[in-house]
Amino acid sequence: MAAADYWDHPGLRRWLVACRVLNALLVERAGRCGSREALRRIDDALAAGDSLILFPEGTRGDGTTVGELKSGLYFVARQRPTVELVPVYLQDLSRILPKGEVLPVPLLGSATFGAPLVLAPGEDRHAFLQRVRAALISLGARG
Amino acid sequence: MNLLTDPEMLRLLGGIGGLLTLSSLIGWALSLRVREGPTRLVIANLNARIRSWWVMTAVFVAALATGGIGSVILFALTSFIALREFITLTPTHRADHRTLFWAFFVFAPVQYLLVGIAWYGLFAIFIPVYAFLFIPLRSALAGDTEDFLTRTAKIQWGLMIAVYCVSHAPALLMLELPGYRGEGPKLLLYLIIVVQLSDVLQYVFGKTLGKRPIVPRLSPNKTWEGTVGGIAAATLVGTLLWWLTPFAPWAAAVIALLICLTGVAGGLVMSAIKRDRGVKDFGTLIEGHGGILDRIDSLCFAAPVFFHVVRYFYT
Repeated sequence: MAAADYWDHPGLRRWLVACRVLNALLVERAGRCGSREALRRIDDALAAGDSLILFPEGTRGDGTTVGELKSGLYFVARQRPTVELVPVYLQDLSRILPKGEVLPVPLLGSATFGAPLVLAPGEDRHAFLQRVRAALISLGARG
Repeated sequence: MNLLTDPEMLRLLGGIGGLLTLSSLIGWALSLRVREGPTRLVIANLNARIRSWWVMTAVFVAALATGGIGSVILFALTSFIALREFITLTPTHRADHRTLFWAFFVFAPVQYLLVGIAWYGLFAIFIPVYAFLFIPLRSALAGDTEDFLTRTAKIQWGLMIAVYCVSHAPALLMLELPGYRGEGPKLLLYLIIVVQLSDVLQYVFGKTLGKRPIVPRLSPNKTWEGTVGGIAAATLVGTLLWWLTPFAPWAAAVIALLICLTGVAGGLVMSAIKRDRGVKDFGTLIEGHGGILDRIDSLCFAAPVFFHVVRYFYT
């Protein structure tokens, strides 16, 4: 999943991401009806049996801490409780290309995969997001 | 000199091929004999190492066969990957981003360009003078002063170890030795054989006879028995290969010993860096060995010393 306002520009970026290479699901970030539309499209993709990669922080951080997670992940988990949510900790990506930089530095990034998570019965949004965030942080400490 | 027609080179390559074949056979026999227990993992790692040695030897010989340019490119790529491994393990700040870009895409390539065009004067000082002065300047311009000295030192040390030191190996090709014209690749091959054989023999002696670690807190696998045995055996091989070099046999013995000792120093220092960062290996590029920096840690220290000894006494 990627933000339409950032990626949906004519030219290489849209061609590369949206269509060919990454097969991205572009969603509008601004406005409430945008998020309902986004959820519907996520649900369609999951119903079709696709796997989705979500970036629950919604942005790139400074690389030192895991940011607060956006609510979208909770809504997806509530809508499709059978879908496994696999936490992935991405190490050093912010050093390779920090926000605002154009030229990447060729460091070795790494991705650490954790055990799948599911929404517990009766778990509220805040508790769920905190649990996912804690899982990500512990993956980072291990990697 | 053409590698494929030079009888000395062919004899040596035959010897290396024979040694690798023998190692593979021993590794295979050991894997048949030891089928369980923790030793099995050691044997599996040994066989992974031997397989990697075949690949590394093939790549190195292919580069050497092209004459100068292939070796320069091979070591340039080696340095680039080694620098990646080093900087990845070394925490830097957001403000160092552009400085790192310079290190990877300007200083490292230019250093090897200088080797390629054989500009010794600038090659010898480019990183210690110009790069080392530019790095703190670029980071200072970025405006983040927190841990400034530490950050600067880490980037400088990364360039020093991974680029500057390693570049002295292919720089052997630019030395003009009287009566040894155009035979630089033999000198490079000699250095690599002695330094890597020293590593291998220390491993072999350490695994078979090793008891007392030299610096237990640093590296429990580096024992007195392994180190002394490995150095003695590699020095002997280096002496017996005197005909490959411009050295007299006694000088070859002294120089081979020097290569081994500086190699051990490199291994110890790089181990200290790994312990400090809490990792076992610098990377995972070479199966059984770890990262490329784990394989060339001895070379990092041995190459510049060997280069300057040869340059001082033989040109």
